[in-house]
Amino acid sequence: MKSTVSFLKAVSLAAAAATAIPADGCGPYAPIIPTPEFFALDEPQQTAALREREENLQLWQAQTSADIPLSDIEEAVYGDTRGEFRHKVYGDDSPSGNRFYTWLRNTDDYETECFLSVAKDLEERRRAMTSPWYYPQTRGYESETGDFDELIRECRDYRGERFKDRYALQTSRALFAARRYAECIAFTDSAFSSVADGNLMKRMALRYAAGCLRRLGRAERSDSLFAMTGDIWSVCDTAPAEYMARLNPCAPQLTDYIRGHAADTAFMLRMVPLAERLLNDRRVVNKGDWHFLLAYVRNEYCGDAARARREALRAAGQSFSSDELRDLARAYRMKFDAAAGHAGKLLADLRWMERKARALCPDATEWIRRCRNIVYAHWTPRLWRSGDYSTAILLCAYADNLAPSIERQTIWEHYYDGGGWSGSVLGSVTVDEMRRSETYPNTVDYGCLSFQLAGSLTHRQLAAAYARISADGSALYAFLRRKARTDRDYYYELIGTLALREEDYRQAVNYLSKVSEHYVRTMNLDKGGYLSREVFNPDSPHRPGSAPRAKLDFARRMLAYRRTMTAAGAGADERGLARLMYAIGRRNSFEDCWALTQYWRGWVGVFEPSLQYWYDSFAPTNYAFLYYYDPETDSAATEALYRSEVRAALDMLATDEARAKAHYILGNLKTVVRRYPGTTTADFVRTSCDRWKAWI
Amino acid sequence: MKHSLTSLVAALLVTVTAACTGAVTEETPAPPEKNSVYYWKTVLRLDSAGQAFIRRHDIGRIYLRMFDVTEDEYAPAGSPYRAVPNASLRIDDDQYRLLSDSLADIEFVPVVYITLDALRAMRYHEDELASNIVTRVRNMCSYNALPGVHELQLDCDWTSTTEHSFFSLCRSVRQSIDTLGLPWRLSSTIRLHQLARKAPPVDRGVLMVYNTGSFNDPDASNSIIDPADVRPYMKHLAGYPLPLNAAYPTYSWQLLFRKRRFIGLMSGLNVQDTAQFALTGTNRYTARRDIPYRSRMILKGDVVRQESSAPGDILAVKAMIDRQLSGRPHSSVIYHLDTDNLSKYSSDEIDSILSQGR
Repeated sequence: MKSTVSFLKAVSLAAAAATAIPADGCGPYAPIIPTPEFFALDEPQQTAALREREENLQLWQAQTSADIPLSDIEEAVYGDTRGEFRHKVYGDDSPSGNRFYTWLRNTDDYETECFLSVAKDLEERRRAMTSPWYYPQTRGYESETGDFDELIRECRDYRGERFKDRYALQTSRALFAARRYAECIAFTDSAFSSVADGNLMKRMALRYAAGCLRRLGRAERSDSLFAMTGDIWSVCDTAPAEYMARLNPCAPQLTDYIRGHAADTAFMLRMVPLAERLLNDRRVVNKGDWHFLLAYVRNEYCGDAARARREALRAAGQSFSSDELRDLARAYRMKFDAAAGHAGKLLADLRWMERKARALCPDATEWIRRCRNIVYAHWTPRLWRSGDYSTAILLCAYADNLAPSIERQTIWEHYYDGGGWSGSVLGSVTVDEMRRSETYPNTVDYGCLSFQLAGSLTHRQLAAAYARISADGSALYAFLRRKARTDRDYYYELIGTLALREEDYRQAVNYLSKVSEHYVRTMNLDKGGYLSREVFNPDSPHRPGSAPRAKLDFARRMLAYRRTMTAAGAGADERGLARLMYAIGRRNSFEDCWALTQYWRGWVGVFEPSLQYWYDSFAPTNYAFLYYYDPETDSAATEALYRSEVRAALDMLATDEARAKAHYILGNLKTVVRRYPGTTTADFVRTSCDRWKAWI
Repeated sequence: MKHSLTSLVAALLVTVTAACTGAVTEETPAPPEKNSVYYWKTVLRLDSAGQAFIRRHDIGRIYLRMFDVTEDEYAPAGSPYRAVPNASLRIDDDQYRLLSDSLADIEFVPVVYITLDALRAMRYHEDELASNIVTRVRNMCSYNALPGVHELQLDCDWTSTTEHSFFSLCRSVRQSIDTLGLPWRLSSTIRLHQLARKAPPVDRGVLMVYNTGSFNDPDASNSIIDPADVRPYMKHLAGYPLPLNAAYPTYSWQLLFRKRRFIGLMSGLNVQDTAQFALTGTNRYTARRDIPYRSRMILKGDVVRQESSAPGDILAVKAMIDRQLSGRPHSSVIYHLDTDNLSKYSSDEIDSILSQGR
C-alpha cells in the first residue's frame, strides 16, 4: 500500500520541542534487494489444481458459449451451492450480471442445469461426509451407501453424448464416496476405455479409481494410475519424482512438485541426474523445464555459474510445460547476463518484463521484484565497477520507478492523538503533481537507490553522467528515460550539493544558481524546515520555514570567505575572521545544518539489503561506494578539522578587537570580557547581555 | 408434620419452577424411576458379567457416553469445526446384535460430554454446535439401533464464566431436537458446585455425587466421595428447581504424588507389594525404590494415595441426599458399569445404592 507521510503537523510539533537538537530527516528508507522466486513454487499442489480448474472452465465455455467470461462460469460451477444455483436458474429474480446464468435462463439448457444440480448435490453430500461431525444413519452394506445410491443411478442413466464424460466422472466420484471400490474401478475402466488419455474427466476419474485401488491394498497399480494422471502427491513410492519421471515425464505436475522442493538441497541435487536423463528421453517434449532446472541447481547449489549459464541459454528456445516456467527461465537467464555484463538482449528483455509489470497483471508485483533483483543485485554493481555511472543510475532509476503504484500517490494526514500516531486519507495525486507540490512530501525521488547512487559520486562525475543521461540518443536510454526522473533541477540541485560537500563553492554556485526556487520548495528538506537553520549561528532560535536559497546563499558566503581568506589586500584580522567564519560554516554544513550537504541523517541505514544478501556480506562487497556520513568517524574528522581551523584562524588575528570579535562569534563571552575588557565587543557584552552567568 | 409440609412446599416449588424453566410438564411426562448405570468407555463391550449385573440388579436405564466434544486448536478462527467430536463410542457387530436382542427393553440415554475449551470455542455459535450434536447423536442411535432412546443428556462442568454459553447450548439443543422431530427429553449432569447456581434450561438433571473432593490436594483423604465434602452442598438441594437423579461412584483409582505435588492418575498398581511400597498412612503408600510402571517412572519417595468408593461412604452420602430429595421421585445411578470395579461390591451393597430414592 502506498503511503505518503504528511508531516506538516508532525514537523510543527517536533520543531517546537526540538530547537536544541539536530532534526533528523525522514528517509531515505533503506532500499532493499528483493529476493523473489525464480524457480521455486509455493503450494505446487494448489497450482496444479488451479490449472485443472482453469481447464475445466474453458471446457464449460466451449460447451456453452465463448462469450461467457470464465469468471462467471467459475461462480456458477464452483462458487454457488446447489440451492443458490437452482434459485439463480429457476428463481423469479434474474441473477444480475452473471452471463452464465443469463445464458442458461435464455437458452433453457436443461441438460446443463440438470447436470450441475446433480454434481452440486454430490459435492454437498461428499462434503458432509468429510465433516468431523458426520456419522452414517443406517447400517448395512446397501443402505450404508444410501446417501449416494440415487445419485449413482441418476448419473448412470444419462444417455446423451454432450456430458457423457462428465456424468461418468460423477459416477466414479459417487461410487468412491459410497465406498463401492471394486465397482468404481470396474466402472471407470469401462466408461473411459475409449476416451483419450488427455481428457480432463478421464484424468480426474482415474484418480478416484486409483484411490479405490489404494484402499483395496493394490498399491502398485494405484501408484501407476496416480502417476499417469499427474497426481504425484498421491504416489506412495519412496521417490515420487523419480517414479513419475519414469511413467509420465511430460506431466507439468512433475515440475510443479520439484519446484515445491526447491529449498531442499539434497532433493534438488538428486534431481540433477534425473533431469539429465530426461533430456535424453525421447518422450520428453518440455526439455526447457529440465535445462532450467539444471541451470538453477548448478547456480544455487553447486556454485557453478558458468555451467549454469550455459544451461540457461540452452533452455531458451525449448518447449516448456507452462508459459510461467518459460518466463521464469528467461528472467533467470537475464540474471546471468547481468552478472556477466552481457547487455545485448537487455533492452528486449526489459521491454518484455515491463509488460508483465503492468497494473492489470496479477503477478505484477513479483515481476517488479524480479526486475529489481536483476538490476540492483547484478547490473548496478557491475556497471559501477566499470565506471559506467550514467547507465547504472538510469537503469537503477528505471527499476526504482517501474511499479504502477508510483503513478498515483495517496495523501495521508498523520496526527498524534496522545496515544499514538493515527492517519486518515485526504486524497491522492499523480506522481507529477506530487513532484510539483510544495506541500505534499515526495516519497518517490529521494528515498530510492538511484538517488543514493547519484549522491555517491563527485560533482564532476555526476555532471558528466547527467550529460549522458539527458542526451544519449540510444534506444536503451530512450526506453529507460521514460520511467526515470531526469529533469535538470533534480540533477543540478544534487550536483550543487555534491560540490558543497567537496567545498567547491564556485561550482556549487554555478549549479545551484540554475535550480529554480520552486524546485527547492518541492524538496522534502525544505518542506520539513531543515534548510532554514542559521548555518553560521545554529544556536539561534530555529524558525522552521521554507528557505529555497539556503544552499545557494551558503555557497556564495563561503566563496566570499574563501576569497577574503586568501586575498592579498586583506589585513590579518580580516583574513583571520574570514577563516573563522569559513571553519564554522564548513563544520555546521556537515553537522547542525547537515541538510546543506546531505539528504538524511539519523538511524536509517544507507543500504540494508534483505535476506540472503544481508548474510552474504553483499552490501560491503558490492555497494561499499555508497555515500554515508558516519556519525562517529566522519563527525570526529569534521570536528578535528574545525578545531584546528579555529586555532589557526585565532592565531592569524592581530588585534584584541578582532580576537574579541572572534571569541564573541565562538560564544566565549567570558573570554571576551576577561581577556579583552577594553574592546567594543566586551563593552557590548557587558551592556547588552542579560544572562550575566554567561560572561561574568 | 413439618417434614410433610416441607415436602409439599418443595413439591410445589418444583412444579412452579419447572413450569417457568420449561422443564417437565404435562407434555413431557416424567420418566419412570429406574435403576440406572453410566457406561463410560469408548468401546461398548457388555460381556456376560456385565449382562448378568444388568439383569441381577434390574437395570432399566443406561446412560451411554456417545462422544466428547473437544476443541480443535488447529482449526482456523471462524471455521465451523472449532469444536469436534472426539473418542466416539464404537459398537461392533456383536454388541449391535446384543442391543436389539437381550438389551432391547433397556432405556438408553445418549450422553455427550462437552469440554469447556470446546464451549468457549463455539461461543455465540451454540446453535451450530447444538445442531451438530443432535444430528450426530440421532445418527449414532439410528445406525446402532439403540433401543428405548427418549432422552439426550449433556455433560459439562460449566462455571460462572461459561454458564451463559452452556445454557444457550441447552436451549439450542432443545430447538434442534424439535426441528428434527425427535421425541426426546433433555437432561444434563449437575455437579455439586453447580447446585448453588441457576439451573440449566433442561428437563431434568443427574447430580454427580463423585469427585467430591480435590484430587490434587495431597492432604485429602478421599477425593472420590467423602460425606464431609458433600455436606456443605446439601442446603441447595431441597429447593433445586430441576427433578434430579443422583449418580454415585463405584470406581477406584490411585493418585501419584511427588513431594506433595500431584503427578497423575494410576491404575492397577500393586501397592500391597511390600517390597516396593510401604504403608505410610491410612490409604497412602510410599515407594521404597524407583519403579518403572507402564509409561511412567515412580521414584523412590513418591506417594500413592489409594482411593475407592467405600459402600459406607456412598450410603452415608446417599442418605443425606435422599433426605433432601424426599417426596421427590428420583433414581439412583451407578457410575459406572465396570465389572472389575463392581465385583468389589456385594450384591446387597449394589441394591442398597440403587434401591432407595423413590
